[in-house]
Amino acid sequence: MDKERIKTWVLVGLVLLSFAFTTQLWLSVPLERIISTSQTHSGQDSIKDYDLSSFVLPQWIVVNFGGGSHTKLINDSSNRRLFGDIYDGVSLITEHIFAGEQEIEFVPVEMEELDAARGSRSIEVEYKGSFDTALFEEVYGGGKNRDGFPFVGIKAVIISPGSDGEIFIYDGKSQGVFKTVLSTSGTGLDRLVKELEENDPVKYWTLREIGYSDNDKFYVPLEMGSFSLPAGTAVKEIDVSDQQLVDMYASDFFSDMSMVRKITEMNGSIIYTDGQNALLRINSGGSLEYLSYSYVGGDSGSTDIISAIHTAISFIEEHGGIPEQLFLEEMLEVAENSHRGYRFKFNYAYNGLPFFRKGALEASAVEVTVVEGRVVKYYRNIHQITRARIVQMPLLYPVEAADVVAGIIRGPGDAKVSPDILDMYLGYCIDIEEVRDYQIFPAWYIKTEEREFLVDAYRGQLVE
Amino acid sequence: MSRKGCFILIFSLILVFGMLTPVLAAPGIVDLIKPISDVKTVNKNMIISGWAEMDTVIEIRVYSREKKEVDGQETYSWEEYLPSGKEVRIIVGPTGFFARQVELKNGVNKIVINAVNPDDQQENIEGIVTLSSKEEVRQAVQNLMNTSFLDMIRKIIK
Repeated sequence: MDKERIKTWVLVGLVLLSFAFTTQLWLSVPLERIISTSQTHSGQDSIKDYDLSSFVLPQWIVVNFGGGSHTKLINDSSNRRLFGDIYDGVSLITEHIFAGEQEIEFVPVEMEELDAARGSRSIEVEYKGSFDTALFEEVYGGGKNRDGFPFVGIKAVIISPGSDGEIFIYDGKSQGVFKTVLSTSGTGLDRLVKELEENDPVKYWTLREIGYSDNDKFYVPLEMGSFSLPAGTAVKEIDVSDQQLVDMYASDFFSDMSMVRKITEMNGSIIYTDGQNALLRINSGGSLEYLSYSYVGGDSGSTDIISAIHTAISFIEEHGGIPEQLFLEEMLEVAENSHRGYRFKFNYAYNGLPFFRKGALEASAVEVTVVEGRVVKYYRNIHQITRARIVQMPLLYPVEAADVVAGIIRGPGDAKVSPDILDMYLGYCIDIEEVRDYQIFPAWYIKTEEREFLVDAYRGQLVE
Repeated sequence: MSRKGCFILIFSLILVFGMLTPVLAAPGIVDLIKPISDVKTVNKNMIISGWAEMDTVIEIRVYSREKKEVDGQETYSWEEYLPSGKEVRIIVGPTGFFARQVELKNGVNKIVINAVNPDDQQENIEGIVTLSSKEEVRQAVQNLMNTSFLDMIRKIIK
């Protein structure tokens, strides 16, 4: 009898447990928890809190200690704090220029004066492109539209810290240099420069200083032992074999998916089109191209560059997400079917170094064209890093990288050739020509008068 | 007459080539951008750069002068100073250019450049580089400013 009672209670317990588990099975779980972050379409480690200043970032900061001693700071893991502190100090000055109580007067000066500042104790903040002054007014001036700035675009800001600090703006559009005098005492820049100098950082040199050529526009290191740049593998953001994910991506571009036709090409690329307004092509290589035929629906009143960049950034966030370390590379004025608009080119970085894509050196990672307040073209080619490994090899010296280029351009009879190098810096290359796991590795980017080159910084081979 | 002329011509040729021989025998294998002899600097890092024929092997070594006491007497010796991870050997590539950053020690340093070109010709260049701290230079300038012109003349006359 007792045994029967125990059995009954056990049975009741099991029934209750089954109810409890059934409820657990049907709990509402957010999509992000079902699909891992790398599979969601919100981009690689998407950042949610951002404003325009998150994308208008310098590609590096050069600190001059005087007497021909310079270092270059990249926003990598080893320099993040110092880079951030110096950039914050510089931003205080930029803010004062664009939003301060008093009007700041800039006067045009000769390039020699800027060179003299670079030769003494100073900080150079250099952007990838020469950005429209309106962009800085928006970022630092809270939209204040000040008249009287003689520069139209800003490529670099050079500051000589001190109570009578000289501030130079290099306008990459007009190639002009403009100067003002401001106290930089409250910014802590002087202290930061001293701190950096005491840390004995890796020294960088201009080609003129090392005697290669007369170019003094960029700096290269000649001590590669302290660099530790990992190599690794990456995967494409969109894998066309994952139909569910691809359809989910596509649904972001079309308001009514029931009107959308899906065509799969022989090579695996997928095209979505509603026939009337837009076309989306997701390539088998993982890149995405969107084309809108219609300019209707945009805010045609907002045709200025600031509205356009806000539209572009919102569009990126809603269509794939904001990739980590995304930065503005270039902004161009374009005309699409006689409508005026803007094209914004973005790239992203890994450990502070920009990405280059083998086979697509010219293309940016993200390109958005905004016309009449509406995005009419969108291109996106993002890769997510899955593995990084330390390489026990020294990095190629810049002269050795130049030797690789010289070896390529050298004619059969030439004994030696010295390529006229216009720019040179380290970045990361993704070999997107491979099938699945894409190799990423540090590479020297070299720009000469005629061509651009990528040299594998570990193996010393020409990549592109 | 013609025999005499031939003799003079051959003699002149021997004379000219004889003069040229030492020049041909000691080619400048390495063309340095900046000389390295008797340099005074406050920069710990120094650039040794220049041009040379492709495939020339260049070794750059830095020695610092170290003070030692042997039997109560101060002696000096050169000790090679090679920070870890640094290579001393460079093989000149297709640009014909080479550049290396060397680290100096405070005080007197000796830089030795040994170059061997593809024809196995060799060149040795040596130079003394003195590294002073910025404080030492500041002090020296201060002393100079404190010394009046008349004192300097008196010292010279003495």
